[in-house]
Amino acid sequence: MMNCEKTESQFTLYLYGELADADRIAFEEHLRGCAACRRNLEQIQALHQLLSRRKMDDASPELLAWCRQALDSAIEREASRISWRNLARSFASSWGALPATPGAWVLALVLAGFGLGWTIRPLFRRAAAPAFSAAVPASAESLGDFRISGIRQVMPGADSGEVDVTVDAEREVTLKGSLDNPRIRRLLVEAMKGYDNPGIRRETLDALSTRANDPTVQGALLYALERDPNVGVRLKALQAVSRMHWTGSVQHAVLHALLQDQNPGVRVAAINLLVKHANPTVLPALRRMAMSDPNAYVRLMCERAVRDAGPHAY
Amino acid sequence: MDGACLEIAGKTPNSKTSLSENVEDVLVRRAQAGDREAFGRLVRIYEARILRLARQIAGSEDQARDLFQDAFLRVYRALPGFRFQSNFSTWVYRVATNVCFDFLRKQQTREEVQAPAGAGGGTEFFQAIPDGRAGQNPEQTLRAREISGRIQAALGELSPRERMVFELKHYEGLKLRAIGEIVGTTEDTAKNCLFRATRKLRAALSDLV
Repeated sequence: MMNCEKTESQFTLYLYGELADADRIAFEEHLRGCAACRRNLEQIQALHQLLSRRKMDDASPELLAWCRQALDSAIEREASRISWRNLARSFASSWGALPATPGAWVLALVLAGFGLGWTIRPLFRRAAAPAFSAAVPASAESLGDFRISGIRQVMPGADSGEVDVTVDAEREVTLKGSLDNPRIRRLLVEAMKGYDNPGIRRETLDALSTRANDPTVQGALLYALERDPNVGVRLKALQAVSRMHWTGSVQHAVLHALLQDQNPGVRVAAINLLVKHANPTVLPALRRMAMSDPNAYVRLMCERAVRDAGPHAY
Repeated sequence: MDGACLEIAGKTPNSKTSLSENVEDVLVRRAQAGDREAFGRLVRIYEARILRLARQIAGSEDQARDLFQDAFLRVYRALPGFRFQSNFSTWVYRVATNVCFDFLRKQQTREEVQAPAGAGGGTEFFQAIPDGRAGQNPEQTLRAREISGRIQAALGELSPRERMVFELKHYEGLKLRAIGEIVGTTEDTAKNCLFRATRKLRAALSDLV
């Protein structure tokens, strides 16, 4: 016969359906004759119900889309890195085995060049949407508008006066295409999230904001609003967000700006947007910031927003 | 629910389960061979569950996004070494759980576990107001936020292992046998963790039940 001390460890397992049949039968038999254990079980059941109130709803489609996109980008970078590493390893391991003849060296370099081109091709495939081609210059005259950023090797000919100069050359390429082209959009989204120059990010944001309701663009704009280190970019992002359909994710992002952004200007812009959309679920946040925001003007704005909402909020 | 999930939830596999598992195995092998599309399809199978787990653990969507990405990046990196010695779903959960463990340990080290409600911070606010709840009474919302904050704080007092076992059992509904495998321990140790976690939570939240 089971005693109360033994049942102590079994309440939880019983509620989760983890007791073996024999143990469960013994436990239930004990419960029938023990009021104290029944009360105990009810309390743990109530605890379980309370804890279940915290259970998350499934993530919104927007959040999932954002996560997928960020993961895709991260894996793209990872794949490139792994390819580079593998290429370097295989090249290093085959280096010692190469016969020291000029033909073999040339072959090795051609293979390395091909391998490099193959490795970085996804980058170009991503960047080059409508029309992109790059020719490797064979002579100084054909350099055209290439910008030389460094010299790697100079190989003078024996007596001919000829010289082979290996340079790092970059050429500016202007991609022309519609924002409706997914590749163009993707390139801009990448720039939005990964480019160091805040001026470029702001311009990119301007361009993207005309397609603010595209899920990919939306993810990038919300990302910029929440995480861009530059306050100007975050303010621009907030302007772009104001053109989006007002979904739960958008509201979350704007609330996040109100609650977390270090810049009072961004917080004020977030308040204006929240007031414009007048959803009563934002009132607790406004009330709290009316009391706790470090900036007096932000507190005042929140206070006014709550007051204007009145007893029958929004 | 896909086959892998049925298995991990401890339910009886059926022919459909086996079929799903076979499809998943094929996807795993293709992904191991470098097929990015196959990897993407594997991600689609698990993304919702892993994101939910990340949101439960992180308490904020920002950090949940990072955990999600970190988990799947680790899966991507480690996939070539997966030898089918365990179920793929168990393995994915194990990788994600390790990411969550790291997060919880860092949280404890930095003593950044959320304070009870009212002490500020926006994360509980988001938990208390999921999408699509427009029109809810603000006072109810505030109360929900307070309770959510109390629960979050109580969960923050658990050890990382107790926390993970509790999350996987209570919120993900996994069987203790599978949980033991995921967190790298025995079923009995997982049981003890669950028992200790329940006792601590009961003490911390006694005034709410």
